[in-house]
Amino acid sequence: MSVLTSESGAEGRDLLVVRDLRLGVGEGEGSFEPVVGAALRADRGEVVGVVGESGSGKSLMLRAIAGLLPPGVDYRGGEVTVGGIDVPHAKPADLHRLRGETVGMIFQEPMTALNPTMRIGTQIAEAARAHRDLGRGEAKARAIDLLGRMGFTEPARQYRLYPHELSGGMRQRVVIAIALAGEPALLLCDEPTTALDATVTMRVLDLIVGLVSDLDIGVVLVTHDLGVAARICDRIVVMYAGRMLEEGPADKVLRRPRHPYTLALLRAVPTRETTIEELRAIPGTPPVPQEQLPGCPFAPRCEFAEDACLREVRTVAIEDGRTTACRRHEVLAKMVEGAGV
Amino acid sequence: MAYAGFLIRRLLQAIPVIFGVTFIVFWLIHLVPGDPARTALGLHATPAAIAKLHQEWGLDSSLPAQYLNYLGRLVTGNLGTSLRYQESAGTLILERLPVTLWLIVYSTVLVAIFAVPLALLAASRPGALRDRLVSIISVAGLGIPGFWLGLILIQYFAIEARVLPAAGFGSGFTGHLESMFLPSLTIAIGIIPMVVRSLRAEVLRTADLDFVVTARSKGLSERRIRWRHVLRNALPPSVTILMVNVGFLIGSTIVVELVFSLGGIGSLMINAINGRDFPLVQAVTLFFAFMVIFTNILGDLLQALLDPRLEAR
Ligand SMILES: Nc1ncnc2c1ncn2[C@@H]1O[C@H](COP(=O)(O)OP(=O)(O)O)[C@@H](O)[C@H]1O
Ligand SMILES: [Mg+2]
Repeated sequence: MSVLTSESGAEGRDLLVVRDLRLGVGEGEGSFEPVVGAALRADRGEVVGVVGESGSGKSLMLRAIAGLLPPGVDYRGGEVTVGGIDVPHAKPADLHRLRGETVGMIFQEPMTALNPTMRIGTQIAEAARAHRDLGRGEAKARAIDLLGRMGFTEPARQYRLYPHELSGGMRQRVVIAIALAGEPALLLCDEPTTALDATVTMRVLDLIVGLVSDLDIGVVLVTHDLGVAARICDRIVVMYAGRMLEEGPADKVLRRPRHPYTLALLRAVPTRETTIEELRAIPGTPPVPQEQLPGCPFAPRCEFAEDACLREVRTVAIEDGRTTACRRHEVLAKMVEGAGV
Repeated sequence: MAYAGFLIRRLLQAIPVIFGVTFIVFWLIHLVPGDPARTALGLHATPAAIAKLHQEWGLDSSLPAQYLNYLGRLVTGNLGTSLRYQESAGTLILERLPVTLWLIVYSTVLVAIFAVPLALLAASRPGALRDRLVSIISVAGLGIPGFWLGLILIQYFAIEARVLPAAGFGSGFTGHLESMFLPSLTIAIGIIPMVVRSLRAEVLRTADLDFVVTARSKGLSERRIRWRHVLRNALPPSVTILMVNVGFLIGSTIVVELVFSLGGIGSLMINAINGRDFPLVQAVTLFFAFMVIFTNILGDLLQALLDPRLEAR
């Protein structure tokens, strides 16, 4: 299996490069690889969406980028480079620079992502002090400034609040402030709005989009919500069973999918234009990571699949700087162009 | 302060408990069959002495009247008069209070000093040699009877190595610190295992929580993560365990005071029981009960101080 990264010339300048990443769980008998051949690129000033059903390895890939793999999960191969740091082989000093200073991370559950016994301001200030030689007062001023930028109306007073005194949306803003405190170049967001209600989701997304232009940072946004992805992402990576299936500019991927799985995801989303008859659940179930097939992981559920799909999978570059792992993408393209999605 | 309100609420909640305790303590003397005055004074007491005690204790009035009378005395701070010492029980207790307080506070401090590092050590690598060693030491500590441990400690540290005194309260702060070390350690060793076990489990549970990943994602040092984030959040439940045990510990002071010849409230209790000094037994029992209630309230207060989420309750 090979993974082609697009030859756009941006190579080498990329802030984040993930290539053919493999992550393993456990050793010996019960060992398996929940991520096999994941790929991702991100640069300053862009929002890259990672979409896919739950269990497809999105969270593990993000944690692998930040050097925060959970105990029992390890790197089995491939490349992860962020801001020049070779993450799988990073020494403790590099890991320290990586976490907070190069990469900031936002989590799915704002209710549990904060330390319940520490004031929110202190949690931000300690993140700022971890990387800069700041005095207590300076760190506090920085935390208050960040709270203000996150939309807290009285940051100097709210600095002293504890997490349980805030709503989910406000807590998520604190998590974002923590992630930004070390002035990272890359923000990794793991389903940051899944736990929030619709209006709060919009505000938090707008906040993140604002940061991209204000601070010129890169954002990787994991989501299973295609609506969210369509709204703020510049590029989209579609993941399935620990693998990258399709990648390209957001509007292209979402309007003209070049992988049947993307098409299936789109058909499963209710929109104003779709009618109930058109809305279709994806048949079958996602593969369990314990059972790896040699071919395309989606083939057993795919209406376009032919025998060869079950034997081998290759990622190829197509038009508009896009890539797809579907050998039948041309057939799919004709159908999509003909009928619309 | 929010804590003042919290404290007042806890004190109010303690009132029914306090009533219950006074009722039981009042009943103590009536639990023994026969005439309480005769029981107290013994077989050879003169009828005149018995009549005098009847009058003093108001034994001729009805039980409810006697209880109200007893409560009335307590409210004015009168804990009764010791038959044996012919002195106010309250004064006797106050005289011996420093020894017992030293024992309780000192052993609590020792528990904290030993339990926190042991629990962190054990939790740093669950299942590894260090973890198993800590749990073996803990089981041993739980199994050793306090009086025997006390005697062993006296044998090694006081008689053979001669580094610490074998008995007595010592004088001055450093004197107390030296003299009370072995007795306090004896008590502490009985409690450390329970606190270590709870704290180890709590540290392991906390280390898996999401906010620890957040802390790590900030690039903090492992040391800061361990102390400021993990331990800080693992502490509150273990503090409850500790304070419950301090309640039990008050009972074990009796044995330890005996072994180390300490003139504290525990030995006062033993003298009172041996001498059938009912008013003194009543007074000391009441005192111990109050100490337990007090440590429980203190535990709740500590809990509230450690966990801001409880403040609002
Ligand atoms: N801490 C872990 N230990 C072992 N296996 C894990 C762990 N986290 C995730 N996995 C495995 O990796 C797979 C992908 O998980 P995850 O990355 O959380 O998916 P997603 O975020 O796309 O929902 C899961 O189905 C699970 O089998
Ligand atoms: Mg996830």
